[in-house]
Amino acid sequence: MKKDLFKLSLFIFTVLLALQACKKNTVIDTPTPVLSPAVGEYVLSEGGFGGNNTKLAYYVNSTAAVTGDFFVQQNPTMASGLGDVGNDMIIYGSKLYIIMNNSGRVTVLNASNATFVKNISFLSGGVNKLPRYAAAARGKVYVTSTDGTVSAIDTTSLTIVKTITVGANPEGIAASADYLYIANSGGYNPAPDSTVSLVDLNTETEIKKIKVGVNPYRVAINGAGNVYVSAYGNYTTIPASIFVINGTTNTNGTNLGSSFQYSNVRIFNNLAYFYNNYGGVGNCKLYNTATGTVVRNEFITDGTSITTPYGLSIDEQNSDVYIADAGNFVSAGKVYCFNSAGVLKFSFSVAPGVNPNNVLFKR
Amino acid sequence: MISAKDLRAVNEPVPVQVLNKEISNRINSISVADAVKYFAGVHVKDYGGIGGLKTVSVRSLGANHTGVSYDGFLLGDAQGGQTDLGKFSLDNIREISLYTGGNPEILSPARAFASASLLSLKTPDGIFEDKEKSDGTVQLKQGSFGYASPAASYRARINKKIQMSLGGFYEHAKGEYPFASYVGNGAKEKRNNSDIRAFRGEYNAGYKLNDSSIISFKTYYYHSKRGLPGAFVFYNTIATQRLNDENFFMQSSWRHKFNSKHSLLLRAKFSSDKSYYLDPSYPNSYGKLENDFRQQEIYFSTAYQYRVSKALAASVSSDYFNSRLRRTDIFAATFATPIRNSFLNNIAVQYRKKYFEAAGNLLYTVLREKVLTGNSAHDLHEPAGGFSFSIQPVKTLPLRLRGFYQYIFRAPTFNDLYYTNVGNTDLLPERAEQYDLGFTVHALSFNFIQSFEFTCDAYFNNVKDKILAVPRQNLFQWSEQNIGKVNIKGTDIAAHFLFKPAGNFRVTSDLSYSFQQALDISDKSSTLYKTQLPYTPKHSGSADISIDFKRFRLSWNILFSSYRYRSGDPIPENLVQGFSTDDLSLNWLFRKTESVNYKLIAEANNIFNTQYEIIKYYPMPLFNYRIGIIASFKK
Repeated sequence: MKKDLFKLSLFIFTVLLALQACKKNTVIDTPTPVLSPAVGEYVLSEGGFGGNNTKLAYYVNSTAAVTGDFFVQQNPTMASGLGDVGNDMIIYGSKLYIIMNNSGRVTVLNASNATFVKNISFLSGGVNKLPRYAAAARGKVYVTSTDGTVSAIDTTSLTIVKTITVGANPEGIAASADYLYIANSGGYNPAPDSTVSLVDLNTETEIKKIKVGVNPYRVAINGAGNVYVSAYGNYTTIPASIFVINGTTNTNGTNLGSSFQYSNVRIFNNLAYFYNNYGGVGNCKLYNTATGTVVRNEFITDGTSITTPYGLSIDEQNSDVYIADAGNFVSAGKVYCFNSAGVLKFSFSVAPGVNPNNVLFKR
Repeated sequence: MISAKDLRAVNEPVPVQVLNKEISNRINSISVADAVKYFAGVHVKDYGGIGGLKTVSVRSLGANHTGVSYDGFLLGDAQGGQTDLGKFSLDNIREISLYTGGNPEILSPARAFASASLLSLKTPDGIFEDKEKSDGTVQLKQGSFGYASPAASYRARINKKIQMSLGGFYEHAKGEYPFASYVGNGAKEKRNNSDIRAFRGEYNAGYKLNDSSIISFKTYYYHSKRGLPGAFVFYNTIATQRLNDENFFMQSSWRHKFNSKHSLLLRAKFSSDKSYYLDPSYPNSYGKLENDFRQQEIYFSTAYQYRVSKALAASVSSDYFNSRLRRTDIFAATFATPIRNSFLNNIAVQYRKKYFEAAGNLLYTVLREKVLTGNSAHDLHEPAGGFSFSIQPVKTLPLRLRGFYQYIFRAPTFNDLYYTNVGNTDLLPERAEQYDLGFTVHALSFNFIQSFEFTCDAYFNNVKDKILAVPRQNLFQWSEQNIGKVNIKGTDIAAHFLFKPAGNFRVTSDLSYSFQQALDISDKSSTLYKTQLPYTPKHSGSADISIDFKRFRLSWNILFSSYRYRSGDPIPENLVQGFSTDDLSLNWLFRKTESVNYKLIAEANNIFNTQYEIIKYYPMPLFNYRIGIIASFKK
């Protein structure tokens, strides 16, 4: 039981780097593509470790109807479901990629209706590579794995075409126009890592390691191409931190300071949302990365209480913010939708989903 | 289980359940864990397979509230506080007793009063009854999933004063049992990495200075290597983790009766436990994870009893033990390396007449802890105690009423206090209160029923400051906290019948049933408020019917459990289906000479091939068998 909890603590994440893929290398005079409004949201709930209860839920905006186990509804012959610990998901092109950590595979679905396309195995040589997070670039989906690699999935053949060696126990990943940035947590070692691997998208090899905070976790890139890296610290003496890497020079990151002790970061429209997926120091801080100023110390302005912010996604069409609440980690999770002013618009339960970690938009 | 010859179950003021060699021969069990499933009020957490972890919770208080003693000495585990009863094979156990809410034997170490329930295991410990001669057994068992187990024991009566015994046991199983897969169309799959090899050796010596003064000595060694199959993970059947255990202890006691009034019991023990866990594909820079824990305990106990009158006796006992835990792996430098000194003092009083009995005890515990690294737990000064009674209101009616109250606690374990990133040195003890009211009936010889015993107890327990892991505020980590509260209401019923319908036939039957409502009342705002504790069936029970005919004995055992939920909301997703299993066993004394008896044992387990699980995604074995030959000799 203790061991499971320990593992769970290692397995705590969330992300939404798909959005970064769409945002890469925004240049002022390039018009942002016009997005149609979301018709619904996919919510990934990872479940409990060893619980085989990963769920993909679907919420219909017009009717507020929730299907808790949308994957099984859309794929009735696959009644045993997605499997164990759905760690991350990403929509790229017409496909939805679900990163199944403990089941050791990436499940590919049609993004339009969640029907099954293919499983890509991450079990090799009697070992589970333990896939974690994904980002997309140049027709490929890049998936970090705890075994110290990034796997490049060709989105046409849906096979792994290249395995890139990076640092220890990579976690979050983000793609700019030319590079992949990968957070090397080293979380399985007695002393964690504190680097980001810089991978050249042309050669698909690691160029260098960039110094950031201890035990880096998530990566997000702003409009100017600067890279924000959240780190857990060592859970005792070293606190969580946010480091910023200059996306042009790619030299060692600079610490945003002690008022930014957050383990998670998400960026849209140069606004960074910092949050902790273990609760404690408020839900979410809103920070303007263009001006370097704090917009609001607490993003939520109407007093809505989130027990355990476990995932945060921004609807790029209307800037609504979705916060996934894992609650007590064993009961059904909830998703709260706020407008950009931090006022609750609606919320829904993802039962039987437990530990929701990611919201994606169907348009 | 109620033994016909042993009336503790119906006469003691606290519930006592006894399984002796005679009964354990009737139920298909390899380990003590399999056997105690037949007790009322007991839930065994069984992770499946011969090598799977098996812990025992009595009346929903949790495994940490169950003390386990081996020939009178508590098996200390300051690290985890839970004893894996799968490690104790039944071949050399002559009696298993479960005491709930108190200890009716007042000349006992203080530690024997320090848990909510006490599971006492007794072996043929080398102390002979007056007329016994030297004897021994040789046995060989073989069964499904590559199971093979030879065992032998020999007890030697050197002379009137000195006796000794030696026993050895080996067990081997590949353990790759088939089960219906959870994925796809439910095709058969095999459990991976569930092999076990285990060896146990024991030596006992007894020295009778005279009839009222006995010194006994025991040394025990156990070594096992096993695979950990883990939970069944969908689409990923890789399992490579290993666990090696090594347990050694030496224990000695001197029981001396000065005269009819004064008795003394002195005890000393040294134990050393090693536990080595290996994950050979752990993704750290070493390419593997090794956890190597060493635990040592030194223990002394003195107990003194004064008999005031024939009915009234009082005892005082004092125990001291020193427990230490260290690591020898790469985490050794940062590990707390705790050393705990425990001082337990107990006074007990017992008043015993034929138709009325009452007992009470007060226990005072002091724990002092030191660590090499980091903070140590706070010193602990805790009182505990309880009282019980049993009365037969009408002398001619064999009906007794009984009841007890007990307040007890369990100290935080080293894992609770010092586990990496999770441990919390501010923990308080987890406290439990037990209230019990019941009645027992013992009737002899009416019609063809030779004997009939019946016990029924209703109880109310509450647990406060239950130690649970929760996310800690302001830090991104989990932490053990005293936040749990549980209310438990239950009923345990047990019945034993012995019939002699005709001639050479003898029929015995044991039935048990438990109702338990164990509600989580920790947090009013939680969706789990007032829901049943995980893995706690409302209804569970057992039945055993045995027919003896000449040299044959045929037994049929049934276990059943209603549905439970794993942790989380009580929704279908978290449901663990109820189940019942049926086992058959046949014993045949096929050859009997003056000095040697040969017995054949054939066991068919789970005869209806039921796929069930006790812990979600830990499938239990389907149909399986064991056959064995036991030769017992006397000289």
